[in-house]
Formats: sequence, C-alpha cells, structure tokens
Amino acid sequence: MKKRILATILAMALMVALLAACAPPEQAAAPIADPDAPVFEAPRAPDEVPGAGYPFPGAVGSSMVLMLKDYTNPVWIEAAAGARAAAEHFGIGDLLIQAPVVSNDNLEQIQLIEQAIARGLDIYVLIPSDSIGIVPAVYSLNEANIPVINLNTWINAEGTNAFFETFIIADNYTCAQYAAHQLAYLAGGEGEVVLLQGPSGGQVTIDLTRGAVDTFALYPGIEIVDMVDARFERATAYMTMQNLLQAHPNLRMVFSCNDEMALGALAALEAAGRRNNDENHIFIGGIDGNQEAIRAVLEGRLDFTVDKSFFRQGWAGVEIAAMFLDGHTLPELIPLEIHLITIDNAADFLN
Amino acid sequence: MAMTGALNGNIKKVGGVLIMYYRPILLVGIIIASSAVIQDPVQNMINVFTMQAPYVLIYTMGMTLAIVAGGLDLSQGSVAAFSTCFAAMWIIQGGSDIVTGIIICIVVGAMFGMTNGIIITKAKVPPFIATYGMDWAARGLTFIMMGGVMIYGFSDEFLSVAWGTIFGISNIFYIAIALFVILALITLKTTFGRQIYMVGSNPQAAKLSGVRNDAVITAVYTISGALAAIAGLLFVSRLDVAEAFLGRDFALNALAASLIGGSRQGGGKGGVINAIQGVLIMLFIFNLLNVWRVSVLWHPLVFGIIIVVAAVLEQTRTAYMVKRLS
Amino acid sequence: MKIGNLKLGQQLKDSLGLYIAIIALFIFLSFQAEGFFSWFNIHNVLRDFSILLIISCGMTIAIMLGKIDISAGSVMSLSTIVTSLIIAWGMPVFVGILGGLAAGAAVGFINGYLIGVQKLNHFVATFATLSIARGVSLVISRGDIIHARSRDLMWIGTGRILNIFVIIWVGMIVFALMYFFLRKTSFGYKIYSTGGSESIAELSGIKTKKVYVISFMIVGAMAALAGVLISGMTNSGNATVGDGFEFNAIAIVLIGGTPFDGGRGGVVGTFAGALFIALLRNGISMLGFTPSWQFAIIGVVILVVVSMSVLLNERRKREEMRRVWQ
Repeated sequence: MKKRILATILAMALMVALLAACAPPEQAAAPIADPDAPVFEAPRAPDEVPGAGYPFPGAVGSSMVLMLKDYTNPVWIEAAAGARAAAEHFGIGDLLIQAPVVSNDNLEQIQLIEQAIARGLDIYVLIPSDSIGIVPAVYSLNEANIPVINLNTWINAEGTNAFFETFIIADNYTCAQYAAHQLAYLAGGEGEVVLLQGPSGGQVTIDLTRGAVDTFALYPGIEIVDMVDARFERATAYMTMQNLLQAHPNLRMVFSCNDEMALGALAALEAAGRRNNDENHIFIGGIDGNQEAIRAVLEGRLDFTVDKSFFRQGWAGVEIAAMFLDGHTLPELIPLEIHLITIDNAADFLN
Repeated sequence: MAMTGALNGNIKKVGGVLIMYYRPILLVGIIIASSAVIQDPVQNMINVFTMQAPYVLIYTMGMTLAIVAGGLDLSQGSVAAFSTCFAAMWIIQGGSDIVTGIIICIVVGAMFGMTNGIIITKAKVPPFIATYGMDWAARGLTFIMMGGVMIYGFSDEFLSVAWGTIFGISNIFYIAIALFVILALITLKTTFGRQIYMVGSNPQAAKLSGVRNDAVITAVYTISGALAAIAGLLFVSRLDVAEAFLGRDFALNALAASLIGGSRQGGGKGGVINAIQGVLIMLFIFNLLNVWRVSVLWHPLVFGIIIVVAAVLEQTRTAYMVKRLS
Repeated sequence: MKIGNLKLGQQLKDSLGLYIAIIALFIFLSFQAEGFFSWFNIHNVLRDFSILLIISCGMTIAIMLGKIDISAGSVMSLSTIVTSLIIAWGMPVFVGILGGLAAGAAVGFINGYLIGVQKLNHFVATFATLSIARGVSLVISRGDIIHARSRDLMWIGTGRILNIFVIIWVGMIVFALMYFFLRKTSFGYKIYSTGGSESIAELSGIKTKKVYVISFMIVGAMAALAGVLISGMTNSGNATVGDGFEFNAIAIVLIGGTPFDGGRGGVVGTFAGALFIALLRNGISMLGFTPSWQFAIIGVVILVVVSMSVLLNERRKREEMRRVWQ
C-alpha cells in the first residue's frame, strides 16, 4: 500500500520536475508601438498626482477583464500580448485575461464572466464565441453596472435589453474581400477555388465565408467548387487538402479562412508539386497575419495574408476601455485598419 | 434436393469467406467507391497509403497495444505535443543537433507513457481516467511551457526526415513500415508479446502463470508514449512547426481505427495487423467522404455507424470462427 | 456484496475523507481567492454543481453495472439542440424539454441494447453512440448554433425560486429521487445485483437484459436533463457544449467512491465528488490561473484524487475479505 502511494507520488514528482525544467522560451516579439497612440510626457512619480502623465488619467489603477475565445490559437495569445502592453502603457491597475478552457465554449464564457463579476472589476472587454448566446452574461454585466466593450466579434443583442458601449471591429467580411480579390487577381479572374473554413456555425466563419462567396460572385470566370471545414487547424487542412486535390484536379486557387489552415494546405500543395509556377500552379493565401505566415509570404511560399493584427486588437480593446473610464464618449463602431500583406510589404509587418 | 443442398453449402462457404476476411473486402470496396469519382485513383491510393496512413498508423499501434493489454491510452495527443515542443526548444534554443533532439523527444514520450503505466498498475486507477487525466495535465504543461509561442524554422536536415523520399515514396512511409514490422515481430513472436495478450485477456491467469503483469502493462504504455512522440516528430518535420496544440485528434482517430480494426479490451484480441487494417479503412472512408463531397457535418454520423457495423461484423466473425473450430 | 454497504450511514462514512477535502478546499479558497466567498459566487458554484450532479448520478448507475458511458457528453449536446430546435419552431417549452429527454432516452436505449442484448463491449458501443449522437447533432443543427430565444427556457436556466436557482432545486430533487430509486426500489436492488455479478443475478431470476436497457436509458435521460438545463442557461443549443462532460462525470463517480466492480457506493458518494469538482473548477479560475494552468492542474488533481479514492477502495475491500475469512 505504502509502496503504491510512493510510486504514485514519484510519478507526480516526475511530472513536476519536468515542468520545473522547462523554462518558457523567450518571447522574441517586441510589442509594436501603436502609431495612433497619443504621445505623452514621461510620467511623474505616482504618488504626486494620481493618474498624471498617462493619456487617460481616469483609467489609471482601474481593473479590467479581457475575454478571449480560447487560449490555444496563437492569434488570441497575440491579442493578450497587445492588451498587456496597452495595460502597461495606460497605467491600468489590473488586467485579467480570461478564456474558456474548451475552445469557443459559450457556457464557459458565461461562467467566467459571472466569476469576474464576483471578483469585482471596473470594465469588461468581451470577445464572444457565440454572438447571441453571450447575451445573458452581458445582461448580468449590465445589471452589475459594469460597462462592456465589444471587441472583434459582434454581440448580437437585438431584441433584448442588454447593451454595450461600443464595438471595435476588424471586419471579417472585409478581410475576406481583400483575400478573395487578391486570389482572383493572381489567377487572372478565372479558375476553380476551394474554401477552407473554420468550425461551422461560428460567427467568424459565417462572415468570412460570406465575404468570400460575395466577392467571387463578381468574377464570372471563377467557380467555388468546394467548401470544407478544416477546423482552423493546420494538420487537418494538410490531410484535407490532399483529398481535395484528388477531387478537384483542375483546382486553381485555395481560399483559407485563417493562416494555420493555409500553412497546412500549403505543405500539401508543395508536396504535390502544385506550387511550381507552371500551368498547374495553385494560388493560396491566408487570413490573420500571424508571424509565421508573414515569413512564408516573404519567402514567396505563401502568396499573401491579411493582417487582422490581433496584437493591435488587444491593444485597442484596452485603450478604448481606458478612454471610456476617463470619461470620453465613444462612437458606436470603431473599425480597425486591415492590411493585405504580399511579398512587397511583408517585411514591414515582421516583428 | 441435393442441388439446393449444394447451393446452400456454397452460399455458406462464400458467406464464410466474406465474414472471415470482411476487413480487406471492405477496404477494397471503399477504395473502388472512391476511385469511381476521381481522375487518378492510383495517385489517390498512393497518397493515402504513403502520406496520410503512416502518421496515423504509428500512434494507432500504440493505442492498439494498450487496448490489447486491457486498457487504452487517451493521452497520446498531448504526450506528442509536449515531447515535440520540449525537444524543439532544445534544438532551436538549446542549440542541440537534430539527432539529440529526436532522442530527447522519444525519451520524453516514453517517460510519459511509463508514468501512465505506473499510475495504472500501482495506483490502480482505471486506464480510462488515468490517461485522460494525463492528457489534460500534459496538454496544460505544454501550453505553459510554450507560452503561446510556436516554434518553426527547423533546419533542412530535420525537414528532410519527412520530406525526403526513397524511390519516390516519402520517408515517413518507410519509417511507419519499419515500426510496424518491429512491433509485429515483438507482439507475435516474442514471449513479451504473448504476455501482453495474456494479461489483456485474463490477468489473474497470467499472474498465476508467473507473468509480471505490472511490468508488462507499464511497458506497453511506455511504448505507446514513445510511438506518440515519434508520430508527433513526423508531423513537426512535415509541417515545419512545433505547436502546443498538436495531436488533438490523435486519441479519437487511434481509438476509432483500433476498434474498426477489431482490437478489443478484455479478450486480448487484436494487434498491430488489426491496427493497419483499421487505419486504412478509416482513412479511406475519410478520403471517400471528401472525394464524394459529403458535407463534414455527416462525418461523425457515418463514423458511428461504421463502428457499430464493424463491431457487429467482428462479433459475427468471432462466432463463426468458434463454430468452425468446434 | 453486503447490504450493509449500501446504507446511508455507510456511504457517508466512506466519503468522509472526501468531505474533509471539500471543507479544506472551501476554506482555502475563501481566504485565497478574491470574490470566492460571496453569495453571488457560491450560488453560481451550486448551479454548476447541480448540473454535474445530475449527469454524474446517471453515470453512477452505469459504473455500478461495471460499464462506462462515454456517449453522455454527446447526448447532452444533442439534447440542447433538440430542445432548442423544438422551441425555436414555436412549440411550448415543456414539449422541447420532453423532446430533449426523449432524445437522451433513445440513445440510452441503443446503448442498453448494444451492451445488454448484443453483448458488445461497452466501450465500443458507447464510442459508437457518441459518434452517432454527435453526428445527429451536427446534421440537424447544420453545424450552427440554435438559438431558442425563449424567455421561458431562460427562466429554467437563470430563474430562481425563493431566490435560489431553479437548476439547484432540480438537482436536489433528482438526487433525492435517485437515492430513493437505487436504495429503496426493487429495480435499484437489481442494478446493484447485476453490477456485482451478472451471472449470479441471472441465476436469481433477474432479467439482466432488461436491467441494462432501462439503466442505460436512465443514464441517457440524465445526460439529456443536464443538457436541457444548460440550454436554459444559454438559451441555445450547440453541438459541442457537452464535450468532455462524460469524463468529468466518470471522474466524479470514481472520486465519490463507487467502484467498477459494483456492490457498493451510490449517489451519496457522487454528491461529494460533484461538489469537489465544482469547487475545484471554480476555485482554479477564481485564483486567477490562466487557462493553460487550469488544464494542467485539473488533470493532475483528478489523477491524484482518483488514485487515492481507488486505493482506499482496494484497502476497504481487502479488510472486508479479511473479516469474512476470519
């Protein structure tokens, strides 16, 4: 009996030792300074004049919560990094990052919000997985008199009493338009295209798909031959792309709703010899603008990507929240810039 | 009278053959069905055999062995992720060379597997919960270790592991075949292999005949962990990225493939030959669904039905075999 | 199997260690986690606890029979979709609820049939129904989230009676009914009996096939009920919301002390197990751990607690044997 407990403890200790031995790698990325951020003088000592020296004094020392869709997709990690950088820049007292453990789980987001309310906070920046399903939680925040800033994915509160202060958007529909137009341009306005999508039902997938479909409809020579859910995942896209190549031997373009899938599909295309600039060449691009994709664009492997700059989204979320706490009035909609990244400008976007 | 009798007899014989070899027959049927709608069926087959099957086969063999030994291993995906990320950090940031990195990866995977084995044999935690808990723990450790960063930009030397070809067929195919042969020899020809089956079908009897159950089971899980790590390595080499969420579908795929292949808990049934059949059937079904443009929404339903069908067929086959022997 | 093992007093005594752990955890969190010790938060924890309790009570029955039901999570998702769809079509809420429960019972029937009558391996069978339930969910929801937009449904999920969540009331009632059903009715006795030894139960005249079918229907219905309550909380139905719940449920039952070989345990232990897990999940989040750490911690804690629980059980069994043989 004792031996067994000892063995179990040893096993646990082994795991803990492994953990202790793994120092996290250094973050290579330095935060990008937001070109739009107001220039400010060096802050004076904090105890002199509270809030002095920060662009939004009313927000200094406040506590904020940012809710992401999950903590596994690198884009959200980038957004968190942006938010943290902004929190430091604006003198936010406490920034808590929340994300459901099960990616995109609406129920968990609701539970996390309730826990945040119990903990106490000044303002909530929310990226909902389920635009409609999150409303009960928004309502709870309203009842607790906590202002809500909506980021990235729209909170659909139509027909309810729930409300939020503003919606900061990196418009998915527009991103899809940029990408689709670029693919069409590269392919000379004709050919077959497949869409690689994220999980069905997600607001992001719906918007991106609509953007792609509407844009390709403008080109009579282009035909969408397939739309496949590859779950935003690289390995799934890799396998799926192989099967798609068999099903559509005349494929000309691949529209991918995110960079991870684009990179996975790219591996499949390269292995099949379809990226050789001959008559079988297939054009492919991604959306998101993550660093690895940008590097691939620079190397000429990926044709383009669309920068949604999640880092900037995170930053903007905190900045707008700080503005609100400082007493500024906010417009209903705050659009963020989107950039098409091709081999010509990719170097500018590399950290 | 005699004619119908002979006819019945022949039908029974045909039925018998059909049920005995239902898996290969099923496989051929699926391949034909998918070949019907594509232009280059040979290339398609080659793709699945040499570009998709190897990865899945490697970790499925681990799952199959665990099932045969009376348990299962749900932690393979996370173990693969942790092992590869850990090794990647050593390679890229620690500056180790490729061979050391590969060895580290496999050893780490094996250590996780061994931990699973210890928890299952010494703490008597049911394998289901033990490997599930380990899956969560390993996944969490991987996220913490990686801090959201992905590691990419491996050397060409490393990439050539998965991208290189011999006689025009990808290296990974040969690696998988080699592992298959090794494991087949171990499980079918050695005492250890026989012990695995004994422990899986009747632990008490095995113990009475002197088998060290705990050691056998721990060894099986160690192998499973190592196989997961190897599969992960191949993915990293192919996709040129080590990321924390690698392998999320390992467990589900391995389980489905093992079950379709006919491996069963508590009967010591199955083995790596079953694993290969299961993997091929599963991948070709997936291929068929893609090629026939069946919406992704239908995939799980189709899978579930396939599993039930496979299970019932397997039962029938066993019953038939028993009847034939008696 | 001793009848004495089933008495309420005995069950509570078995769970004593667990209750001590729960109290310790509660005290720790109240001091360390900001906002934990408030009516608002504890009320929420009790609501999450109630949902876990309901699905775990169902799972308790499966484990008492020596089987696990890994389809429970998918059944939960399926019932959220069925309920939301029915309500979205304009039917009254109770029709939606009945629909959801019926869906769960239907899947449970399939499970019970495959396992009890066809004698399929319980793992294979429930893995198949997991895929089938998920498949049906995806197909009828077309992969979308189904929004019920119903105030009545929302009341179920967020409404209160006497200032306590409706869900908590439902949980308590279900628990009481379960306890009564398992301990005081003859069918409950049949479940214990079949779980202890199927052959002996058959010999004493119990129709074990019927026991399996009805038991798994209850398991399915419980999972479906949990799903209905969740659809009340979110006013929507979603094909992935239940993923992973079956593992939580199994861990809860094991932590609560109901072992796989039947004959002891019951929902009283499950009550404690559910309370522990609910506190743990809330606590880890309130302590401010990032999601990566949550994965790791929950995985390790489940491993440790289940190990301890299983080891304690073994020790108890051996002591009993000693007492019997003296």
